[in-house]
Amino acid sequence: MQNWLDTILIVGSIAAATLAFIWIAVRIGPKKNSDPKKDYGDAAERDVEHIFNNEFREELRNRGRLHFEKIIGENAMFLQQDLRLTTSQINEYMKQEITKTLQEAFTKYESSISDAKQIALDSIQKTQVAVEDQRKMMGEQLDREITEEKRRILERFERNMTDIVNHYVLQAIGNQINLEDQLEYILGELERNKREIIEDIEVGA
Amino acid sequence: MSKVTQDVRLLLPNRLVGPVDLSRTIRELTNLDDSLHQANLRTPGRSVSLPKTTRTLEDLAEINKISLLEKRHREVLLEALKIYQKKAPVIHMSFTVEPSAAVLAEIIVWLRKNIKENVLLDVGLQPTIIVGCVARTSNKVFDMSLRNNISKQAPMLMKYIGGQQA
Repeated sequence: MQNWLDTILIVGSIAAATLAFIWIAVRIGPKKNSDPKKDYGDAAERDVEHIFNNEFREELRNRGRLHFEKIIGENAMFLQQDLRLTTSQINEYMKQEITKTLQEAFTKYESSISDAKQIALDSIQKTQVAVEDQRKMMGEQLDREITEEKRRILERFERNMTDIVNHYVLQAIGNQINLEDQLEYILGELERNKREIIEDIEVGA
Repeated sequence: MSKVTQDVRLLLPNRLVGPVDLSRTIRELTNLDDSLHQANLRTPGRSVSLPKTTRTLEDLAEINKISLLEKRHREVLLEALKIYQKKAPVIHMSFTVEPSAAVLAEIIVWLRKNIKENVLLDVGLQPTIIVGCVARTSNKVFDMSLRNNISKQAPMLMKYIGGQQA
């Protein structure tokens, strides 16, 4: 970039010097005149050639060269200043553009990250809700199963409780069953069923 | 037909518990009658050996004031016993183990005092009863076992178990 600018500067300087030289040459060069007073003109030209002899011309050329160099130098300085200014402006502009571009890119990147984050959060939230629903459903199902199993066990226990207790008593007392000890209980039970027994016996008789 | 046969009111001894005892007594009485009949037909002068009688038959004769040596009394008793064999009310009672004679005597005394004086008791075994007994008359079954009692008390037991769990 710097090289390119330098090249433009040099070419511009050369072009400006050439134009200035041509302009001076045209201004100080002989004028064409088809006027009747051409003779006077020619005479004057000759006088001019007398006046503007080679030395004088050389002097003028030297002055012109110096002036041209001065102008070239001034223009080069101006050009250099302009170039520096332009370079700094370009640098500033580039900085601004790059910063802007980078900011835009970062903004987009941040936005896309934010979107992705939001999507991920939404997804996680949905997953959490689904998991929570599933957990709740499973919990309820488990509760129902436990309640049902408990009810079944209790029902089975109630249904077989008599056998269970009977079996337990049988295991507990084993061969120590003594009817004499039970006599009071048996007679009590007979007494309790006495009326029904009598009625049935009388009906049967 | 004698008066005793027409109005059978025979007192049964406590030793005569059930139909089996009654059959045995009838058989014994028949044998005794046969023996005594044969003894009457014996050749005079020869010794007679009478069959031994059981305590049941002796008690039976004693409480009913019957002389076993008199043929007529024996016939009346035998006829009455046969009628009892056919018509006496029988209660079947099942126990978890074989009841002793004392227990049976207590029960039969209670039955004859409270239910009917000529009732017979047929004893059976049912090991699952454990405590109590199951009585069966001609039409009904009276479950007087602990199992039945527990079944009746099931709600209370469940309440108690529930209280223990809580």
